[in-house]
Amino acid sequence: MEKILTIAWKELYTVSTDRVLLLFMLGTPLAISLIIGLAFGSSGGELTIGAISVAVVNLDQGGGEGNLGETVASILLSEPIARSNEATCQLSSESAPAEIRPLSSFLNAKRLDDPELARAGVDDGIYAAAVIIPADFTSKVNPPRDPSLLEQTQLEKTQVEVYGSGATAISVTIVRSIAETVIQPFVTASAAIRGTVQTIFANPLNAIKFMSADESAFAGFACAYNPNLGNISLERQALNDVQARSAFEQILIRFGSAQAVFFSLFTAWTGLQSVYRDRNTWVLQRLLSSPTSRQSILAGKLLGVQWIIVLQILLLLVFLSIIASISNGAFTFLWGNNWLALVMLLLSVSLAVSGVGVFVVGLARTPEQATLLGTMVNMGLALLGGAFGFRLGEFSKLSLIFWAVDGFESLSSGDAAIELNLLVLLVQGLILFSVGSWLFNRRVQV
Amino acid sequence: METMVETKGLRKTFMRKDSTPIHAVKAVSFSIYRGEIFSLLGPNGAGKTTTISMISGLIEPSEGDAFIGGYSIRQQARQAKQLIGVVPQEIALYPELTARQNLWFFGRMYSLRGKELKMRMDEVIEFMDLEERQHDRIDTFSGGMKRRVNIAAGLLNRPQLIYMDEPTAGVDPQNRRRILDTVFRLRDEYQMTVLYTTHLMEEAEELSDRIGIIDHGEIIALGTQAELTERIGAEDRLVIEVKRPSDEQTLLDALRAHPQASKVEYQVDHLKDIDRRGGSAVTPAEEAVLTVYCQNGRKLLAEVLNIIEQQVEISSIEVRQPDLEAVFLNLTGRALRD
Repeated sequence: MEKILTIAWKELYTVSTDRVLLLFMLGTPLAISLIIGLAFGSSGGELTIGAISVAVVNLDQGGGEGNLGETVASILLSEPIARSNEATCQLSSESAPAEIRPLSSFLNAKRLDDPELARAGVDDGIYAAAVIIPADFTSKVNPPRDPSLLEQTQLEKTQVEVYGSGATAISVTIVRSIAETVIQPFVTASAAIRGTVQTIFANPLNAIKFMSADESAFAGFACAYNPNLGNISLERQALNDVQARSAFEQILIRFGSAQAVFFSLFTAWTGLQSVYRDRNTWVLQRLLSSPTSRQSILAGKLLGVQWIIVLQILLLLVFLSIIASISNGAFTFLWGNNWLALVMLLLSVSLAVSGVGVFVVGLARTPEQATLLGTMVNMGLALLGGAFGFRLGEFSKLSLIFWAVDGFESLSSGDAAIELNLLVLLVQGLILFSVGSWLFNRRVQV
Repeated sequence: METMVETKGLRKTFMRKDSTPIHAVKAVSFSIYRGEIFSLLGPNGAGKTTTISMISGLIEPSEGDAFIGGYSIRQQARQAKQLIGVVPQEIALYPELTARQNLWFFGRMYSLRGKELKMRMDEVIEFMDLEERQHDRIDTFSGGMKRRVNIAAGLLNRPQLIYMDEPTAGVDPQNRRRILDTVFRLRDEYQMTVLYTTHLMEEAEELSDRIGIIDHGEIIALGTQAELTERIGAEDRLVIEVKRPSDEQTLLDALRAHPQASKVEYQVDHLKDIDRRGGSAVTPAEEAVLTVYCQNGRKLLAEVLNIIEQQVEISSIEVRQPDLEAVFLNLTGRALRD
């Protein structure tokens, strides 16, 4: 075991003293993530994106208190919000706080009636995303006015669909964030109304007045959600950590973690390529003529590369958080607070990544072949997994980058349900590692 | 004498892609005695590296076995390897590590640790005179310095048998002398057995207690230099450069008539003239070389010169005694560097 650790230490030490390699391993992915974040995340207020093309489909059938889906659609479309008993809630720019950008500057939204048409438009690249409000939106969000039903029913989640294309993953992330921000007040307000109604019905006299009230009295709730009144903005109204994140942070999380995994894939096979150099310089022969087994040399090399990959991804995650902290002017840890899940994900990703590396070097007969094959495999995984800013639909799930990024995003949003991610990464890692180790064993022969 | 290395019917067969066998080493059996410097000589492709690779446990023999200090390299590889130190021809070191870090790393591969490892490192650093540069990276060293660290790494485990593969390749004369002296010290001061390979005949002649010559995967001769030259019956050679005689045949007949000259060779170099139009013409050179083979060259020299001087002007004279080169040439039909 001591020999294995010594060989692993040597691999780690060699990398840590190679400045050019360190720049490639850490500097490049950070630089790319930062540039993309600045370009698309509006950080620092210098760089902004143009309006994102969005299709909005409102299928909401409404309810006793009006059509809240229509209100959401109007907000997304930057249209005046219709009221049942008055003209409209005017979207007066004069009343909007100066620091809040109107939604129209973010979204170029178009109303459609057919959800299939909207999805097809996304697929064809006409729209970056489609927001589809379901038929039962109002009925699910609004509490029933009948106090007996109020006791029986629970507040249900909204089922608004944000349909996106992998080709515009960043735009979809932004649209999703906006949609969640717009919808959230309805959920919050619904809970508040629910509580209010329960309080009212606690007094029988109030209950009689409430039941006899005019329907139009409740439609006025719609204007409460007018973004220009300031209670709907893109800044906060947090339900969870995802909604609390700025677009810049979300890009750092998605794109940064993708870059971290992508670049660690290069580390995996380039690190293992040292076996070719060791053989050419007779270091391998010297090791094999000592009382050190071939298996120990193999295990030491693999362990060393595993350490390097873990450290590389870990450092990149830390550096990304530092960038977010500098951007925010306050400490910002991007990866949630579930440390155990984060460590498990990190180790699973590292295993999967080194599995790819072992497989590539094991399969190739020469360093040149390993370079060619490794580059092709990495690019393929990056293309599928979204490291280039877009995903290829269901095919993305073939890439470990997808599962890694999805896991990091989940942890970042406070969702620790990453069992599937861990399972996929571990299984993939173990299979590739096993097959790759068997193949790589041949490279440790003279 | 006590045997340090013994090979018994060592054989290695590789298979080509078309499944036809290549017999790299054919049932080689020989012994190396404890505390001797043994040189293994052979032209490229003779099976020298394969034989040594099997002895040092790098590759598995197809048949037969090798015993290091009594341990079978096949059955007791760990114990056998513990007795071996290897100094490859290449600089088998990590260039990005310092000399001391390299020694630490390779020492760990022999399960050395702590004070014992530090003591061994200090020992070999002092032995190879590396104190001043021990904390410098290998890639900042000269060729000679790298060679010395390369040897130091092979000595860390205090081996009983050290295999040195052309350790003087590419080094300057000063460092070469230092390395050769080191080889003698390893034998004389530390009683190590040295298995040495080289392309330089004069090195093999100077160092070796015994020499093995391998060709086509077989040991074709083995013994001391005197035994080998005696075995082939090698003669002295009188090599005489002369102005080209007008009557070559008369001169050659006169020399061949001498009762002690066993063989006379005559060689004229030809010059190729290339004219301006690209054509060429071959013209004989002005000089020629006569080689007279005999048992006692120095004694015969005066008589031979007398015969030659009567017919042609002599440019230079050299008496060559039988050496390994002649032995090698005689046995293999090739020069060592071929």
